[in-house]
Amino acid sequence: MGELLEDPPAAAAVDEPPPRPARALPGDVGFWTFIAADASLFAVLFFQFSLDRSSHVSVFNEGQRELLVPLGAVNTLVLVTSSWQLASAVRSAHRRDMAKATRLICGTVLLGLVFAVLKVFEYHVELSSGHTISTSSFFMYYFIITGIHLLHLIVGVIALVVIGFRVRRDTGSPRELVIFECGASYWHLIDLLWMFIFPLIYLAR
Amino acid sequence: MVQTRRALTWAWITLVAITVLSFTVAESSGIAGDIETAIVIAAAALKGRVILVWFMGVRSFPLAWRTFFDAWLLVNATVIVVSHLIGHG
Amino acid sequence: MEAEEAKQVRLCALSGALFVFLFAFGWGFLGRNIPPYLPSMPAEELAAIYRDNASTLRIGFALGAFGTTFLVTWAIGLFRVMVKMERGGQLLSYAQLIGGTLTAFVPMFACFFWLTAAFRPEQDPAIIRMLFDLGWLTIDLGFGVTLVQYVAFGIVAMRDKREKPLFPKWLAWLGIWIALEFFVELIMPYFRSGPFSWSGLIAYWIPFFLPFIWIVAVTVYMYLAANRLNEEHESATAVPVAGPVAS
Repeated sequence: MGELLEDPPAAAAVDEPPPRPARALPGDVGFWTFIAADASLFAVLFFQFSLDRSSHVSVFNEGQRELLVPLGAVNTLVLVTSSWQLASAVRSAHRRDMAKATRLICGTVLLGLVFAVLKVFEYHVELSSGHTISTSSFFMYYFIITGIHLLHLIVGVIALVVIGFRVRRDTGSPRELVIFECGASYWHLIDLLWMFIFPLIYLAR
Repeated sequence: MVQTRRALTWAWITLVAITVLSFTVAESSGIAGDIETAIVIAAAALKGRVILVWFMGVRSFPLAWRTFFDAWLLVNATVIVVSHLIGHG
Repeated sequence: MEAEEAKQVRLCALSGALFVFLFAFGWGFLGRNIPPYLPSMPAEELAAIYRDNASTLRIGFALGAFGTTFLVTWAIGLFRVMVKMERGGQLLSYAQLIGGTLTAFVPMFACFFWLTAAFRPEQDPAIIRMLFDLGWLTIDLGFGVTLVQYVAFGIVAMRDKREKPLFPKWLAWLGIWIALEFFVELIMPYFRSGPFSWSGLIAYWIPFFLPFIWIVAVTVYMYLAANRLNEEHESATAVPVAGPVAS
Protein backbone atom coordinates (compact mmCIF):
# COMPACT_ATOMS: atom_id res chain seq x y z
CA MET A 1 0.00 0.00 0.00
CA GLY A 2 2.76 2.51 0.79
CA GLU A 3 3.71 4.35 -2.37
CA LEU A 4 7.46 4.62 -3.02
CA LEU A 5 8.79 7.96 -4.13
CA GLU A 6 9.57 7.89 -7.83
CA ASP A 7 12.48 10.35 -7.84
CA PRO A 8 14.88 11.32 -5.06
CA PRO A 9 13.92 14.37 -3.00
CA ALA A 10 14.59 17.68 -4.71
CA ALA A 11 16.70 19.04 -1.85
CA ALA A 12 17.89 17.68 1.44
CA ALA A 13 15.62 19.20 4.03
CA VAL A 14 17.04 20.35 7.33
CA ASP A 15 13.75 20.05 9.14
CA GLU A 16 11.91 16.98 7.95
CA PRO A 17 8.33 16.82 9.18
CA PRO A 18 8.07 14.02 11.77
CA PRO A 19 7.33 10.62 10.20
CA ARG A 20 3.60 10.21 9.90
CA PRO A 21 2.02 7.48 12.05
CA ALA A 22 0.58 4.49 10.21
CA ARG A 23 -3.01 5.68 10.21
CA ALA A 24 -3.58 9.40 10.42
CA LEU A 25 -5.53 12.23 8.92
CA PRO A 26 -3.41 14.69 6.98
CA GLY A 27 -3.36 18.19 8.39
CA ASP A 28 -5.25 19.02 11.53
CA VAL A 29 -7.55 16.39 13.05
CA GLY A 30 -10.01 18.98 14.31
CA PHE A 31 -10.38 20.51 10.85
CA TRP A 32 -11.68 17.20 9.54
CA THR A 33 -14.67 17.71 11.83
CA PHE A 34 -15.41 20.76 9.73
CA ILE A 35 -15.04 18.76 6.54
CA ALA A 36 -17.25 15.97 7.84
CA ALA A 37 -19.92 18.47 8.87
CA ASP A 38 -19.84 20.13 5.45
CA ALA A 39 -20.00 16.79 3.64
CA SER A 40 -22.94 15.81 5.83
CA LEU A 41 -24.79 19.04 5.08
CA PHE A 42 -24.50 18.43 1.36
CA ALA A 43 -25.61 14.83 1.79
CA VAL A 44 -28.71 16.23 3.50
CA LEU A 45 -29.21 18.66 0.61
CA PHE A 46 -28.88 15.84 -1.93
CA PHE A 47 -31.43 13.87 0.07
CA GLN A 48 -33.85 16.82 0.18
CA PHE A 49 -33.47 17.41 -3.55
CA SER A 50 -34.10 13.74 -4.30
CA LEU A 51 -37.08 13.62 -1.94
CA ASP A 52 -38.73 16.69 -3.41
CA ARG A 53 -37.99 15.53 -6.94
CA SER A 54 -39.60 12.14 -6.39
CA SER A 55 -43.02 13.77 -6.05
CA HIS A 56 -42.55 16.43 -8.75
CA VAL A 57 -40.60 14.62 -11.43
CA SER A 58 -41.93 16.59 -14.39
CA VAL A 59 -41.19 19.96 -12.77
CA PHE A 60 -37.62 18.86 -12.10
CA ASN A 61 -37.11 17.37 -15.55
CA GLU A 62 -38.50 20.50 -17.19
CA GLY A 63 -36.20 22.70 -15.15
CA GLN A 64 -33.21 20.51 -15.91
CA ARG A 65 -33.80 20.93 -19.62
CA GLU A 66 -33.24 24.68 -19.19
CA LEU A 67 -29.74 24.21 -17.84
CA LEU A 68 -26.51 24.66 -19.77
CA VAL A 69 -25.29 21.10 -19.30
CA PRO A 70 -22.14 21.35 -21.44
CA LEU A 71 -21.04 24.33 -19.35
CA GLY A 72 -21.47 22.22 -16.23
CA ALA A 73 -19.42 19.45 -17.81
CA VAL A 74 -16.63 21.88 -18.65
CA ASN A 75 -16.71 23.08 -15.05
CA THR A 76 -16.38 19.48 -13.90
CA LEU A 77 -13.23 19.09 -15.98
CA VAL A 78 -11.92 22.42 -14.66
CA LEU A 79 -12.44 21.34 -11.07
CA VAL A 80 -10.88 17.86 -11.33
CA THR A 81 -7.88 19.41 -13.06
CA SER A 82 -7.56 21.95 -10.27
CA SER A 83 -7.60 19.16 -7.68
CA TRP A 84 -4.91 17.35 -9.63
CA GLN A 85 -2.78 20.50 -9.60
CA LEU A 86 -3.27 20.95 -5.87
CA ALA A 87 -2.50 17.32 -5.02
CA SER A 88 0.70 17.74 -7.06
CA ALA A 89 1.41 20.93 -5.13
CA VAL A 90 1.13 19.09 -1.82
CA ARG A 91 3.43 16.42 -3.17
CA SER A 92 5.98 19.05 -4.17
CA ALA A 93 5.76 20.65 -0.74
CA HIS A 94 6.43 17.31 0.93
CA ARG A 95 9.49 16.96 -1.27
CA ARG A 96 10.54 20.50 -0.29
CA ASP A 97 10.19 21.90 -3.81
CA MET A 98 8.42 25.05 -2.67
CA ALA A 99 8.85 26.91 -5.94
CA LYS A 100 6.99 24.21 -7.83
CA ALA A 101 4.38 23.95 -5.09
CA THR A 102 3.72 27.68 -5.36
CA ARG A 103 3.36 27.47 -9.15
CA LEU A 104 0.89 24.60 -8.83
CA ILE A 105 -1.12 26.48 -6.21
CA CYS A 106 -1.34 29.38 -8.66
CA GLY A 107 -2.65 26.96 -11.28
CA THR A 108 -5.28 25.72 -8.86
CA VAL A 109 -6.38 29.24 -8.00
CA LEU A 110 -6.65 30.17 -11.66
CA LEU A 111 -8.76 27.13 -12.45
CA GLY A 112 -10.91 27.91 -9.42
CA LEU A 113 -11.49 31.39 -10.79
CA VAL A 114 -12.38 29.94 -14.19
CA PHE A 115 -15.01 27.78 -12.49
CA ALA A 116 -16.41 30.78 -10.68
CA VAL A 117 -16.58 32.91 -13.81
CA LEU A 118 -18.30 30.18 -15.80
CA LYS A 119 -20.75 29.65 -12.95
CA VAL A 120 -21.61 33.33 -12.73
CA PHE A 121 -22.10 33.40 -16.48
CA GLU A 122 -24.39 30.40 -16.16
CA TYR A 123 -26.43 32.16 -13.47
CA HIS A 124 -26.64 35.22 -15.68
CA VAL A 125 -28.06 33.17 -18.54
CA GLU A 126 -30.61 31.49 -16.29
CA LEU A 127 -31.68 34.72 -14.66
CA SER A 128 -31.99 36.42 -18.04
CA SER A 129 -34.29 33.63 -19.16
CA GLY A 130 -36.48 34.47 -16.21
CA HIS A 131 -35.53 31.61 -13.92
CA THR A 132 -35.05 32.65 -10.31
CA ILE A 133 -34.89 31.03 -6.91
CA SER A 134 -38.69 31.27 -6.71
CA THR A 135 -39.45 29.92 -10.20
CA SER A 136 -39.90 26.32 -9.09
CA SER A 137 -38.65 23.78 -6.59
CA PHE A 138 -36.05 22.70 -9.09
CA PHE A 139 -34.62 26.18 -9.55
CA MET A 140 -34.68 26.76 -5.80
CA TYR A 141 -32.39 23.77 -5.35
CA TYR A 142 -30.35 24.64 -8.45
CA PHE A 143 -29.47 28.13 -7.26
CA ILE A 144 -29.07 27.22 -3.59
CA ILE A 145 -27.03 24.03 -3.95
CA THR A 146 -24.74 25.35 -6.66
CA GLY A 147 -24.70 28.72 -4.89
CA ILE A 148 -23.57 27.31 -1.55
CA HIS A 149 -21.00 25.25 -3.46
CA LEU A 150 -19.79 28.38 -5.25
CA LEU A 151 -19.44 30.21 -1.93
CA HIS A 152 -17.38 27.32 -0.62
CA LEU A 153 -15.23 27.55 -3.73
CA ILE A 154 -14.67 31.29 -3.37
CA VAL A 155 -13.62 30.81 0.26
CA GLY A 156 -11.32 28.04 -0.98
CA VAL A 157 -9.75 30.32 -3.58
CA ILE A 158 -9.08 32.99 -0.95
CA ALA A 159 -7.62 30.40 1.41
CA LEU A 160 -5.35 29.05 -1.34
CA VAL A 161 -4.11 32.53 -2.21
CA VAL A 162 -3.14 33.08 1.44
CA ILE A 163 -1.60 29.61 1.62
CA GLY A 164 0.24 30.22 -1.64
CA PHE A 165 1.99 33.25 -0.16
CA ARG A 166 2.91 31.28 2.96
CA VAL A 167 4.27 28.37 0.92
CA ARG A 168 6.34 30.76 -1.18
CA ARG A 169 7.78 32.32 1.97
CA ASP A 170 8.76 28.81 3.09
CA THR A 171 9.56 29.23 6.77
CA GLY A 172 10.13 25.47 6.94
CA SER A 173 7.96 25.09 10.01
CA PRO A 174 5.96 21.83 10.09
CA ARG A 175 2.89 23.85 11.02
CA GLU A 176 2.89 25.43 7.54
CA LEU A 177 2.59 22.00 5.99
CA VAL A 178 -0.34 21.25 8.29
CA ILE A 179 -2.12 24.42 7.20
CA PHE A 180 -1.39 23.62 3.55
CA GLU A 181 -2.78 20.10 3.90
CA CYS A 182 -5.92 21.44 5.58
CA GLY A 183 -6.45 23.85 2.70
CA ALA A 184 -5.85 21.09 0.17
CA SER A 185 -8.28 18.74 1.92
CA TYR A 186 -10.90 21.48 1.87
CA TRP A 187 -10.37 22.06 -1.85
CA HIS A 188 -10.65 18.34 -2.62
CA LEU A 189 -13.90 18.35 -0.67
CA ILE A 190 -15.20 21.07 -2.98
CA ASP A 191 -14.28 18.86 -5.92
CA LEU A 192 -15.82 15.79 -4.27
CA LEU A 193 -19.09 17.61 -3.70
CA TRP A 194 -19.28 18.75 -7.32
CA MET A 195 -18.85 15.14 -8.47
CA PHE A 196 -22.35 14.55 -7.09
CA ILE A 197 -23.88 17.97 -7.65
CA PHE A 198 -23.29 17.93 -11.40
CA PRO A 199 -24.95 14.59 -12.22
CA LEU A 200 -27.68 15.06 -9.62
CA ILE A 201 -28.85 18.44 -10.86
CA TYR A 202 -27.75 18.50 -14.50
CA LEU A 203 -27.80 14.90 -15.73
CA ALA A 204 -29.96 12.46 -13.80
CA ARG A 205 -33.42 12.01 -15.25
CA MET B 1 0.18 9.72 2.25
CA VAL B 2 2.03 11.29 -0.68
CA GLN B 3 1.35 9.84 -4.09
CA THR B 4 3.75 9.42 -6.99
CA ARG B 5 3.52 11.81 -9.88
CA ARG B 6 2.36 8.97 -12.11
CA ALA B 7 -0.40 7.97 -9.70
CA LEU B 8 -1.73 11.51 -9.57
CA THR B 9 -1.66 11.84 -13.35
CA TRP B 10 -3.53 8.59 -13.85
CA ALA B 11 -6.08 9.64 -11.24
CA TRP B 12 -6.71 12.82 -13.23
CA ILE B 13 -6.96 10.93 -16.52
CA THR B 14 -9.46 8.56 -14.93
CA LEU B 15 -11.55 11.45 -13.63
CA VAL B 16 -11.57 13.15 -17.03
CA ALA B 17 -12.45 9.90 -18.81
CA ILE B 18 -15.34 9.07 -16.47
CA THR B 19 -16.63 12.63 -16.76
CA VAL B 20 -16.62 12.52 -20.55
CA LEU B 21 -18.26 9.09 -20.64
CA SER B 22 -20.88 10.09 -18.10
CA PHE B 23 -21.71 13.26 -20.02
CA THR B 24 -21.95 11.32 -23.29
CA VAL B 25 -24.32 8.77 -21.78
CA ALA B 26 -26.49 11.52 -20.33
CA GLU B 27 -26.69 13.51 -23.54
CA SER B 28 -27.47 10.55 -25.78
CA SER B 29 -31.19 10.08 -26.21
CA GLY B 30 -31.18 6.32 -26.66
CA ILE B 31 -30.84 5.33 -23.01
CA ALA B 32 -33.79 4.97 -20.64
CA GLY B 33 -33.99 7.52 -17.83
CA ASP B 34 -33.58 5.02 -14.98
CA ILE B 35 -30.52 3.40 -16.47
CA GLU B 36 -29.00 6.74 -17.40
CA THR B 37 -29.45 7.94 -13.83
CA ALA B 38 -27.87 4.81 -12.41
CA ILE B 39 -24.89 5.19 -14.72
CA VAL B 40 -24.18 8.86 -14.04
CA ILE B 41 -24.58 8.46 -10.28
CA ALA B 42 -22.38 5.35 -10.23
CA ALA B 43 -19.86 7.41 -12.18
CA ALA B 44 -20.14 10.13 -9.54
CA ALA B 45 -19.44 7.68 -6.74
CA LEU B 46 -16.50 6.27 -8.68
CA LYS B 47 -15.03 9.71 -9.26
CA GLY B 48 -15.63 10.52 -5.61
CA ARG B 49 -13.68 7.45 -4.63
CA VAL B 50 -10.79 8.36 -6.93
CA ILE B 51 -10.60 11.82 -5.35
CA LEU B 52 -10.81 10.38 -1.85
CA VAL B 53 -8.12 7.75 -2.44
CA TRP B 54 -5.63 9.47 -4.75
CA PHE B 55 -6.03 13.16 -3.91
CA MET B 56 -7.10 13.06 -0.26
CA GLY B 57 -5.22 9.88 0.67
CA VAL B 58 -8.16 8.26 2.41
CA ARG B 59 -6.46 4.84 2.52
CA SER B 60 -4.12 6.08 5.23
CA PHE B 61 -6.94 7.44 7.38
CA PRO B 62 -8.11 5.78 10.61
CA LEU B 63 -10.84 3.20 10.12
CA ALA B 64 -13.64 5.43 11.44
CA TRP B 65 -12.89 8.09 8.83
CA ARG B 66 -12.54 5.61 5.95
CA THR B 67 -15.91 4.22 6.95
CA PHE B 68 -17.46 7.66 7.14
CA PHE B 69 -16.39 8.60 3.62
CA ASP B 70 -17.27 5.23 2.11
CA ALA B 71 -20.67 5.44 3.75
CA TRP B 72 -21.06 9.01 2.46
CA LEU B 73 -20.48 7.84 -1.13
CA LEU B 74 -22.77 4.84 -0.73
CA VAL B 75 -25.61 6.68 0.98
CA ASN B 76 -25.60 9.53 -1.51
CA ALA B 77 -25.57 7.20 -4.50
CA THR B 78 -28.27 4.93 -3.09
CA VAL B 79 -30.60 7.70 -1.97
CA ILE B 80 -30.34 9.48 -5.31
CA VAL B 81 -30.81 6.41 -7.49
CA VAL B 82 -33.66 4.94 -5.42
CA SER B 83 -35.58 8.22 -5.29
CA HIS B 84 -35.22 8.61 -9.04
CA LEU B 85 -36.57 5.11 -9.55
CA ILE B 86 -39.64 5.65 -7.37
CA GLY B 87 -40.32 9.15 -8.70
CA HIS B 88 -43.73 10.14 -10.02
CA GLY B 89 -45.69 13.30 -10.79
CA MET C 1 -7.24 30.59 38.32
CA GLU C 2 -7.87 30.93 42.03
CA ALA C 3 -10.35 28.65 43.76
CA GLU C 4 -13.00 31.33 44.23
CA GLU C 5 -13.02 32.32 40.58
CA ALA C 6 -12.97 28.69 39.48
CA LYS C 7 -16.09 28.12 41.53
CA GLN C 8 -17.79 31.08 39.86
CA VAL C 9 -16.80 29.84 36.41
CA ARG C 10 -18.23 26.44 37.23
CA LEU C 11 -21.52 28.10 38.19
CA CYS C 12 -21.47 30.11 34.98
CA ALA C 13 -20.91 26.89 33.04
CA LEU C 14 -23.90 25.25 34.70
CA SER C 15 -26.03 28.28 33.91
CA GLY C 16 -25.68 27.24 30.28
CA ALA C 17 -27.54 24.06 31.11
CA LEU C 18 -30.17 26.18 32.83
CA PHE C 19 -30.65 28.20 29.65
CA VAL C 20 -31.01 25.04 27.56
CA PHE C 21 -33.59 23.63 29.94
CA LEU C 22 -35.68 26.80 30.32
CA PHE C 23 -35.62 27.62 26.63
CA ALA C 24 -36.35 24.07 25.48
CA PHE C 25 -39.20 23.74 27.95
CA GLY C 26 -40.58 27.27 27.68
CA TRP C 27 -40.06 28.29 24.09
CA GLY C 28 -39.84 24.82 22.62
CA PHE C 29 -42.44 22.74 24.38
CA LEU C 30 -44.92 25.21 25.88
CA GLY C 31 -44.39 27.66 23.03
CA ARG C 32 -45.23 24.95 20.51
CA ASN C 33 -42.08 25.47 18.50
CA ILE C 34 -40.76 21.96 18.04
CA PRO C 35 -41.31 22.16 15.15
CA PRO C 36 -42.73 25.63 14.47
CA TYR C 37 -45.80 26.32 12.40
CA LEU C 38 -45.13 26.81 8.71
CA PRO C 39 -44.90 30.33 7.32
CA SER C 40 -47.61 29.26 4.88
CA MET C 41 -50.17 28.58 7.62
CA PRO C 42 -53.30 30.69 7.06
CA ALA C 43 -53.79 33.54 9.52
CA GLU C 44 -57.15 32.24 10.80
CA GLU C 45 -55.66 28.84 11.63
CA LEU C 46 -52.71 30.40 13.45
CA ALA C 47 -54.95 32.81 15.38
CA ALA C 48 -57.19 29.91 16.42
CA ILE C 49 -54.15 28.04 17.80
CA TYR C 50 -53.10 31.13 19.75
CA ARG C 51 -56.62 31.60 21.10
CA ASP C 52 -56.98 27.97 22.15
CA ASN C 53 -53.55 27.72 23.78
CA ALA C 54 -53.03 31.23 25.07
CA SER C 55 -52.31 30.18 28.68
CA THR C 56 -49.49 27.78 27.88
CA LEU C 57 -48.09 30.04 25.18
CA ARG C 58 -47.91 32.99 27.57
CA ILE C 59 -45.93 31.23 30.28
CA GLY C 60 -43.87 29.40 27.66
CA PHE C 61 -42.63 32.57 25.98
CA ALA C 62 -42.18 34.36 29.28
CA LEU C 63 -39.99 31.53 30.54
CA GLY C 64 -38.18 31.36 27.23
CA ALA C 65 -37.39 35.07 27.35
CA PHE C 66 -36.22 34.84 30.95
CA GLY C 67 -34.11 31.75 30.20
CA THR C 68 -31.96 33.73 27.78
CA THR C 69 -30.53 35.55 30.81
CA PHE C 70 -28.35 32.53 31.39
CA LEU C 71 -26.75 32.83 27.98
CA VAL C 72 -25.18 35.98 29.43
CA THR C 73 -23.82 34.31 32.54
CA TRP C 74 -22.57 31.48 30.36
CA ALA C 75 -20.69 33.88 28.08
CA ILE C 76 -19.12 35.55 31.12
CA GLY C 77 -17.81 32.23 32.43
CA LEU C 78 -16.48 31.34 29.00
CA PHE C 79 -14.79 34.77 28.84
CA ARG C 80 -12.84 34.10 32.04
CA VAL C 81 -11.62 30.77 30.65
CA MET C 82 -10.75 32.25 27.26
CA VAL C 83 -8.54 34.99 28.72
CA LYS C 84 -6.41 32.19 30.16
CA MET C 85 -5.91 30.82 26.63
CA GLU C 86 -5.54 34.04 24.64
CA ARG C 87 -2.42 36.14 24.82
CA GLY C 88 -1.95 39.81 24.01
CA GLY C 89 -4.93 42.16 23.83
CA GLN C 90 -7.48 39.38 24.28
CA LEU C 91 -9.67 40.92 21.64
CA LEU C 92 -11.30 37.64 20.70
CA SER C 93 -12.18 36.90 24.32
CA TYR C 94 -14.02 40.21 24.44
CA ALA C 95 -15.64 39.44 21.09
CA GLN C 96 -17.03 36.21 22.55
CA LEU C 97 -18.24 38.00 25.67
CA ILE C 98 -20.08 40.70 23.78
CA GLY C 99 -21.29 38.45 20.98
CA GLY C 100 -22.49 35.93 23.52
CA THR C 101 -24.26 38.57 25.61
CA LEU C 102 -26.01 40.11 22.61
CA THR C 103 -26.96 36.60 21.51
CA ALA C 104 -29.28 36.51 24.52
CA PHE C 105 -31.27 39.46 23.21
CA VAL C 106 -32.24 37.85 19.92
CA PRO C 107 -34.41 35.01 21.25
CA MET C 108 -35.46 37.28 24.12
CA PHE C 109 -37.10 39.83 21.86
CA ALA C 110 -38.47 37.15 19.58
CA CYS C 111 -40.23 35.68 22.63
CA PHE C 112 -41.62 39.14 23.47
CA PHE C 113 -43.23 39.31 20.02
CA TRP C 114 -44.84 35.88 20.31
CA LEU C 115 -45.89 36.69 23.86
CA THR C 116 -47.63 39.79 22.56
CA ALA C 117 -49.62 37.67 20.11
CA ALA C 118 -50.60 35.30 22.92
CA PHE C 119 -51.48 38.22 25.20
CA ARG C 120 -54.46 39.32 23.08
CA PRO C 121 -55.18 36.42 20.73
CA GLU C 122 -58.77 37.47 20.04
CA GLN C 123 -57.62 40.34 17.84
CA ASP C 124 -57.42 40.43 14.02
CA PRO C 125 -55.76 37.20 12.78
CA ALA C 126 -53.64 39.21 10.38
CA ILE C 127 -52.08 41.01 13.35
CA ILE C 128 -51.49 37.72 15.16
CA ARG C 129 -49.74 36.41 12.10
CA MET C 130 -47.59 39.51 11.69
CA LEU C 131 -46.38 39.19 15.29
CA PHE C 132 -45.67 35.52 14.65
CA ASP C 133 -43.71 36.38 11.48
CA LEU C 134 -41.86 39.10 13.39
CA GLY C 135 -40.77 36.64 16.04
CA TRP C 136 -39.40 34.17 13.52
CA LEU C 137 -37.63 36.67 11.34
CA THR C 138 -36.03 38.14 14.46
CA ILE C 139 -34.82 34.89 15.96
CA ASP C 140 -33.49 33.63 12.63
CA LEU C 141 -31.86 36.74 11.25
CA GLY C 142 -30.17 37.86 14.45
CA PHE C 143 -27.44 35.27 14.00
CA GLY C 144 -24.62 37.73 13.37
CA VAL C 145 -23.72 38.21 17.02
CA THR C 146 -23.80 34.47 17.62
CA LEU C 147 -21.50 33.99 14.64
CA VAL C 148 -19.03 36.39 16.28
CA GLN C 149 -19.26 34.48 19.56
CA TYR C 150 -18.72 31.03 18.11
CA VAL C 151 -15.94 32.02 15.71
CA ALA C 152 -14.05 34.03 18.36
CA PHE C 153 -14.28 31.07 20.72
CA GLY C 154 -13.21 28.62 18.00
CA ILE C 155 -10.10 30.60 17.11
CA VAL C 156 -8.96 31.05 20.70
CA ALA C 157 -9.68 27.44 21.65
CA MET C 158 -7.70 26.25 18.63
CA ARG C 159 -4.71 28.38 19.55
CA ASP C 160 -4.47 27.10 23.11
CA LYS C 161 -0.81 26.24 23.54
CA ARG C 162 -1.28 23.71 26.32
CA GLU C 163 -0.15 20.19 25.61
CA LYS C 164 -3.69 19.07 26.24
CA PRO C 165 -5.84 22.03 25.20
CA LEU C 166 -8.68 23.08 27.46
CA PHE C 167 -11.12 22.51 24.62
CA PRO C 168 -10.68 19.84 21.91
CA LYS C 169 -9.97 21.13 18.43
CA TRP C 170 -12.95 19.35 16.94
CA LEU C 171 -15.25 21.30 19.27
CA ALA C 172 -13.67 24.57 18.14
CA TRP C 173 -14.10 23.67 14.49
CA LEU C 174 -17.64 22.38 15.01
CA GLY C 175 -18.63 25.71 16.57
CA ILE C 176 -17.21 27.59 13.61
CA TRP C 177 -19.05 25.32 11.19
CA ILE C 178 -22.34 25.74 13.04
CA ALA C 179 -21.92 29.51 13.00
CA LEU C 180 -21.25 29.51 9.25
CA GLU C 181 -24.31 27.33 8.64
CA PHE C 182 -26.38 30.17 10.11
CA PHE C 183 -25.76 32.06 6.88
CA VAL C 184 -28.45 29.95 5.26
CA GLU C 185 -30.94 32.12 7.19
CA LEU C 186 -30.18 34.92 4.76
CA ILE C 187 -32.34 33.19 2.14
CA MET C 188 -34.95 31.96 4.60
CA PRO C 189 -37.26 34.98 4.01
CA TYR C 190 -37.78 33.87 0.42
CA PHE C 191 -39.61 30.70 1.38
CA ARG C 192 -43.02 29.99 2.87
CA SER C 193 -42.42 26.23 2.85
CA GLY C 194 -39.71 23.70 2.17
CA PRO C 195 -36.31 23.00 3.71
CA PHE C 196 -35.16 26.63 3.62
CA SER C 197 -38.23 28.10 5.32
CA TRP C 198 -38.13 28.90 9.05
CA SER C 199 -39.66 25.49 9.80
CA GLY C 200 -37.48 23.56 7.35
CA LEU C 201 -34.68 21.05 7.77
CA ILE C 202 -31.90 23.41 6.75
CA ALA C 203 -33.16 26.66 8.32
CA TYR C 204 -34.65 25.25 11.53
CA TRP C 205 -33.59 21.75 12.60
CA ILE C 206 -29.88 22.18 11.92
CA PRO C 207 -29.38 25.76 13.21
CA PHE C 208 -31.47 25.15 16.36
CA PHE C 209 -30.50 21.68 17.48
CA LEU C 210 -26.80 21.64 16.68
CA PRO C 211 -26.08 24.77 18.77
CA PHE C 212 -27.90 23.22 21.72
CA ILE C 213 -25.70 20.13 21.53
CA TRP C 214 -22.63 22.32 21.08
CA ILE C 215 -23.52 24.51 24.08
CA VAL C 216 -23.85 21.41 26.26
CA ALA C 217 -20.46 20.11 25.08
CA VAL C 218 -18.76 23.47 25.67
CA THR C 219 -20.41 23.62 29.09
CA VAL C 220 -18.83 20.31 30.07
CA TYR C 221 -15.38 21.38 28.94
CA MET C 222 -15.80 24.82 30.54
CA TYR C 223 -16.59 23.18 33.87
CA LEU C 224 -13.55 20.90 33.59
CA ALA C 225 -11.40 23.82 32.43
CA ALA C 226 -12.20 25.74 35.61
CA ASN C 227 -10.84 22.82 37.62
CA ARG C 228 -7.77 22.49 35.43
CA LEU C 229 -7.02 26.21 35.58
CA ASN C 230 -7.33 26.07 39.35
CA GLU C 231 -4.86 23.16 39.45
CA GLU C 232 -2.47 25.10 37.21
CA HIS C 233 -2.67 28.01 39.61
CA GLU C 234 -2.12 25.76 42.63
CA SER C 235 0.97 24.10 41.18
CA ALA C 236 2.38 27.41 40.00
CA THR C 237 2.06 29.03 43.41
CA ALA C 238 2.84 25.96 45.52
CA VAL C 239 5.36 26.66 48.29
CA PRO C 240 8.21 24.11 48.18
CA VAL C 241 8.51 22.02 51.36
CA ALA C 242 12.03 21.41 52.75
CA GLY C 243 11.34 18.26 54.72
CA PRO C 244 9.13 15.24 54.17
CA VAL C 245 5.83 16.18 52.62
CA ALA C 246 3.04 16.53 55.17
CA SER C 247 -0.02 14.51 54.21
